[in-house]
Amino acid sequence: MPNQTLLHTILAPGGLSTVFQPIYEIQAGQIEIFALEALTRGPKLSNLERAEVLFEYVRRKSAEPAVDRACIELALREAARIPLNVALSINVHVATLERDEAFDRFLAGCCEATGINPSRIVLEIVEQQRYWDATRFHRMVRKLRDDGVRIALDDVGRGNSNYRMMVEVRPDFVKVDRYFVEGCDVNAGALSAIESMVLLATRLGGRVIGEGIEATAELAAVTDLGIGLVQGFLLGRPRTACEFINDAQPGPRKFASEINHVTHVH
Amino acid sequence: MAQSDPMSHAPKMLVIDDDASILLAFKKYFSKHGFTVEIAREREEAEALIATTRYVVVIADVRLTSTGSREGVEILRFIRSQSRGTLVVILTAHRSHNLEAVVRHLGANAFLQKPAALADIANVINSLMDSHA
Repeated sequence: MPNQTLLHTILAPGGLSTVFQPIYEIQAGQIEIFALEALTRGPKLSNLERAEVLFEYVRRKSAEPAVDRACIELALREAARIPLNVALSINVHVATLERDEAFDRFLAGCCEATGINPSRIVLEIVEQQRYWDATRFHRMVRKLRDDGVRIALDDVGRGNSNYRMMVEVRPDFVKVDRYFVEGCDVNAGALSAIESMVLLATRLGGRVIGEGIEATAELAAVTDLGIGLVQGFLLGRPRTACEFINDAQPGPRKFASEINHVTHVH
Repeated sequence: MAQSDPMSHAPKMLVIDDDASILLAFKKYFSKHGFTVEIAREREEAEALIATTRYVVVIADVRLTSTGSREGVEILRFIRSQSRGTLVVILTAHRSHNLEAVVRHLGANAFLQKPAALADIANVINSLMDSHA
C-alpha cells in the first residue's frame, strides 16, 4: 500500500514482539528474580527491530500513547504465560501519561484481561523530556498509584531524567542509567554519582536498580553502595516468554559463586 | 571507493528515498563497493536511524511523499544539528538554483539531479571521502 507507513506496520497484529529481562534482588548472599522487565522489539527485519530506533521513530511520529498501549497490551499478555509471580516492569513515556487521559483505565483493563494483579506492575517512566502539563502528568501518576501500580524512573542521570523528576514523582524505584554503571568499578566520578542517586532515592522512600551490569567488578561496586536490585547481561539476558516457560529454573545460578564472592568478600 | 572490510568495519551509508526500487538498487550497488548500506523510506524513520547510528554518508531524496514537501531538506537540517562530519548528498528530480542554494547553505556536500547514474554518484562520494579524509 503506497500510504502505508511504518507506524501502521508497528501497530498491526504481529508488528511488535516482547522479551523479558530479569531484575534480580541480592540479599545476604542470596539472589532471586525480583521482577521481569518487558522489552519491546519492532517489526522483524525492519530498521525498527532495534528498540532505540523504534522508539526514536515513535517519538518523531508523536505516537507514544498508541504505541505504548500496544506494547503494554502485548507485554501483559505474554507475561501472563510465564509461571513466575514477580513484579512486571513495563516502560511508558511521559507523553503517554500526560496525553492519554484513559491510560489508567486501559492498564486496569489489561490487568483484568490477563489476570495480572496491578500490584505486580511497575511502570518505568522513560524519556523524561520536559513535560508540558505537569498537572495532567501528576494526576495520571496518582491515579495509577491508587490502583496499586508502582512507579520507576528509567535512565536516571541521563538527559532530562533528573533529580527534579525524582523529587516530584518520589518513585518507588530509580534505575541508574547504564552510563554510570559501565566501568563504575574503576571510575570514582561515576561511583560518586551513583552514590548520590542512592542517597536521594532512599531519602525519598525508593529503591535503586543498577542496570547494564556486564562485569562482576561492576556488580561488586554497585552492591557495595547498598544497591540490592540489579539487572544486566552478566546476570540474565532478555528472553521470550516461551524461553522462560521452557526453563523451569530461570536465573543466574551459574553465577552463584560470583555473586557469593561479591556479597561476602566486600 | 570505500575499502571493503569483511569484519563489518565498512563505512555506513544511509539512503533515503520513497521509491523501493531505487533503494534496492542503491543498496546492491554500494554494498558491492564496500559500504554497509541501510535504507529508509520515511523522514521519521531516517531521523531515528541518524539519531542512533553514525553514518559516514547519507544520500537523501528531497521529496519523500507526493505532498510536495521537501522532507529531504529537513533531514539535512537534522543531520547538521547532530553531526557536522557526515557527508550528505542530496538528490532531486526537481532541480532549481534556489533549492541548490538552500541545501548548500544548510551544509549539503553535493546536490545531484535525478536520474543520476550510480557510478556517477559513487564518483562524487569517492571524491568527497578523499577530500574529507
